[in-house]
Amino acid sequence: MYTCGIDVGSRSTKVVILDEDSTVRGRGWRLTGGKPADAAHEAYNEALAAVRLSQGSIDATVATGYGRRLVGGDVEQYTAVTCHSAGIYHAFPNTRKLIDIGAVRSAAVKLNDHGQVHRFRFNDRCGAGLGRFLERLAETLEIPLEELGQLALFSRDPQEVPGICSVLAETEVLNHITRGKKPADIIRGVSEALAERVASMLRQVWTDDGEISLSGGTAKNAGMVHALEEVLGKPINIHHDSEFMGAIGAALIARETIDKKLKTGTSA
Amino acid sequence: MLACGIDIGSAQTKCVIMDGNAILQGRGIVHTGANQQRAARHALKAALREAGVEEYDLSITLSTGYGRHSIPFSQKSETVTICHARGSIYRYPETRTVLDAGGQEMTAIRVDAEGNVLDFAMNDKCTAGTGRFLESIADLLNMSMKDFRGIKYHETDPLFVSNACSVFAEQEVINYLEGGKEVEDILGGVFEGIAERGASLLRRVGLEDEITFTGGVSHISGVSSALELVLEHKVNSGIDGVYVGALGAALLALDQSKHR
Repeated sequence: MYTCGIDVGSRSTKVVILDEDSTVRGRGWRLTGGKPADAAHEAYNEALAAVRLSQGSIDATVATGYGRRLVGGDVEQYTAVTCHSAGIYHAFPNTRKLIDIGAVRSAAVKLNDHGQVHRFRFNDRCGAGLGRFLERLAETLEIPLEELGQLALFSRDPQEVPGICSVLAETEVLNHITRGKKPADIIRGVSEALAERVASMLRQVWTDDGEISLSGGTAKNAGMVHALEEVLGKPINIHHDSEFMGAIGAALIARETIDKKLKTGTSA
Repeated sequence: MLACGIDIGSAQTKCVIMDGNAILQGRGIVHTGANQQRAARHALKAALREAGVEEYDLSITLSTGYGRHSIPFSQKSETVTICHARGSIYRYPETRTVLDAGGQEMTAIRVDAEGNVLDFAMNDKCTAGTGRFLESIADLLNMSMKDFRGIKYHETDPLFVSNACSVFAEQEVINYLEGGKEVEDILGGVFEGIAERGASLLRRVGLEDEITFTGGVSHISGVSSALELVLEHKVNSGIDGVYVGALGAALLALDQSKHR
């Protein structure tokens, strides 16, 4: 039995296919761009090709992310918060607090003991774009995005960057460059400012118990993770598939719906 | 006698070389990136190559733009506003009002017949409506500035996109995409928002015929069309709008070398 999760984010579209043991068998990834439906379709085909399956062998599919309504077909939809929570709870069952840092939106979620969403909080409209902001920073500094986080760890003299508005932060980054500041110190300053922003969101859903997990592509950024751990004063669980966590959660939910149907006998 | 003008902007670095009669000899343009000195060197090299001269042939170099103080090989520097005023008069001699839309700044300038600045108004610290903003929208749509240049404003049915804040505008664009709106109509709205921001700056300094649109953003014809529509007035813009600041810098360099 195979289930599929499609996560149409504002920046990128992720698709995973899970097998019976809830192991990831195939992944698909595309930039979402101006045509989310096409991106979803292409990423879906890529994931199918990776498992060498035809569309007919997928038993259930769930779509999530901001563009979930554009996927089309007979696909159930769940919110990104629900799917990320499902994915993270499956990977780290002791998680009670989840931070999802996406390209444009971030969420802090409190989970109950059964992994269900108890309470959550989005970033307000502004202060959006943590993931995208890091991407732009990488571009400005001419450093590959994958290396950005590593570099921040070498900073000795973090430069202050305003944390509230991404636009003003970017101006300040350019000013630091003009003053000849080191990229590592600039990145470190940005990471600290962003971490503080995320932490203040998390404090609104705060409980002291349980582990903290991070999902979304930003979890691959070691500098951001380090800055977050420092601000929160606690280690954070990171999954190697963090970028696909929404899609994995969606596929897990698809699996649950099948199980439920089987139990009630409405479908074979 | 050769003079060089170099304009180190937040997004692009432009360099022009002129002879003693103010005739353009060579141009160079590169991305500024994280190293302004390197960018300036590369732009200079490109301009020297096009002009077919060597660096030691240059009599004087004047730098402008936000990185103007970090250039070791320039003898003088001047603000962007002064350079754009001068460069606009060179390109369009009847210019009396200039709108310069660059990577991070948008400036409206009123000039006299000699290209002296009479008055100017700038965007505040926020970069909404500038090149940086357009780049981030392009990024979001997985498109390039070249794609943007192909959009005909008159053929779009512009959707409202906020022009007060880049972050909000991006969110609106995402919402439109989610609603299945056409990319062209979204961009029509983005262009209109930029035009309106430019128009309000222009009105602050006072509109006087002719109006010239300069800076990297002026290359996107959709924005200049939208600006003409918002102002209900013809606007000069050309393919070398991005060089206007560097042209002005070279002209000012010429002036200074003559006075010496």
